[in-house]
Amino acid sequence: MTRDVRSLLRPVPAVEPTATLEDAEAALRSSGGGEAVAVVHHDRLVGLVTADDLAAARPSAATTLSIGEVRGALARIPVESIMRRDVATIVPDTPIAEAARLMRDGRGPLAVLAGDDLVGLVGAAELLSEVEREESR
Amino acid sequence: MRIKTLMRCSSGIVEARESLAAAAMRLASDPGGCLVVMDGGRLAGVLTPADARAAGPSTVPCLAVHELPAFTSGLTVADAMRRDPVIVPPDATSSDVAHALRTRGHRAAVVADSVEVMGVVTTTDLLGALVERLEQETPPRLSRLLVAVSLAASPGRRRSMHTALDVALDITRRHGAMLTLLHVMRGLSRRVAEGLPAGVEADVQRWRLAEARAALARLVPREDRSTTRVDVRAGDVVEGVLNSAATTGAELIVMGGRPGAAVVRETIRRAPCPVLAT
Repeated sequence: MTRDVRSLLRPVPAVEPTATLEDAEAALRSSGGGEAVAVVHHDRLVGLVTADDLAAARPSAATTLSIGEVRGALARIPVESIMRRDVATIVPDTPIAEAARLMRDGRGPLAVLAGDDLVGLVGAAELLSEVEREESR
Repeated sequence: MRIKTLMRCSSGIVEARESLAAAAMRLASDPGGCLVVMDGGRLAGVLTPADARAAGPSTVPCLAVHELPAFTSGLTVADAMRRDPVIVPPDATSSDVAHALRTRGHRAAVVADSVEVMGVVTTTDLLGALVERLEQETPPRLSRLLVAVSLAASPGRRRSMHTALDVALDITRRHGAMLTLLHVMRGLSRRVAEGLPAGVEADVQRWRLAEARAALARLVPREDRSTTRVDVRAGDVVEGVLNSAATTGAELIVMGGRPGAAVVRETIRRAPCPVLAT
């Protein structure tokens, strides 16, 4: 029987578009090492910010800003300025093979929507778990 | 599956002291790849595109202006690489490697025996093998379709739109797929937009979007509502169809209109998947 992504879903931390990069980093930390934060406005998914996006937003070691200035900037810049707006979406019925294909092709993390409701996220970690499970069958 | 059958033997190797910008250029051609970093003949780490992006200049313009090009060009691979690479023996299973990558939050593992580096295996490689295995068990079927729907009032267009929608719904049901109904709205004419008081145009646009979403939802038969979703975009029709197809990962685009029509022809030319014109 074809398994769908329901068994892989985990809760997604969410922030408003006006939340700051600092807020998004805090939401990601509190989720226990998730891959992305959903950006939600009026209960609708409007974007996604990944841990990679947040890392890329931070200045490099070549910055002339002090640590305090960087911290201040991260507490001011809204996530909507860096969020991915074209998020790949799937439904809970989507077969795991299909989700893995999208992730393999660099389309992830994948937001899982039931109607307009965001019910979870599928990223590399969830699909690596599936690699482990498949191998042990 | 043993990882030696899956690893990339010809993985790129880069020295830790090399320029980060040059290494990032090498990685740009393979977003799912990685470079093995050596330092004085010893394995020093791995570098993935995400590592290079994270260590490079900020993607936020107001932060990037404080990073002088003279300084960022001095960044090296050592500034960006993961220094604690996951190292696995060639006879490790893909499950072992997936477990190590997942628990340590890495994207690539170095395959090495006691003497030398033999290759690398990335998350992308493991997912590719998973896809192949699952697809062997269950032959692939269409799982996501996109139908472009015109809400224009002309009888000819309505007939064509209903045909496309009926065809798309039929394929969706037979494949147990998910269907996206898309409508691309044209923008307000300049004359209308200029006649609106300041700030009202955005409200009008929101109202038009909501009206279009509701109109699309009404087109869906009750029994198909759980397998359909609606998408409304504004702007150029072909761009809207292509962007929606990319976002939803559509495997088939269904649209009304003759295959020779300009919009259909342009969509077929640029679409990432087959286009069925009805």
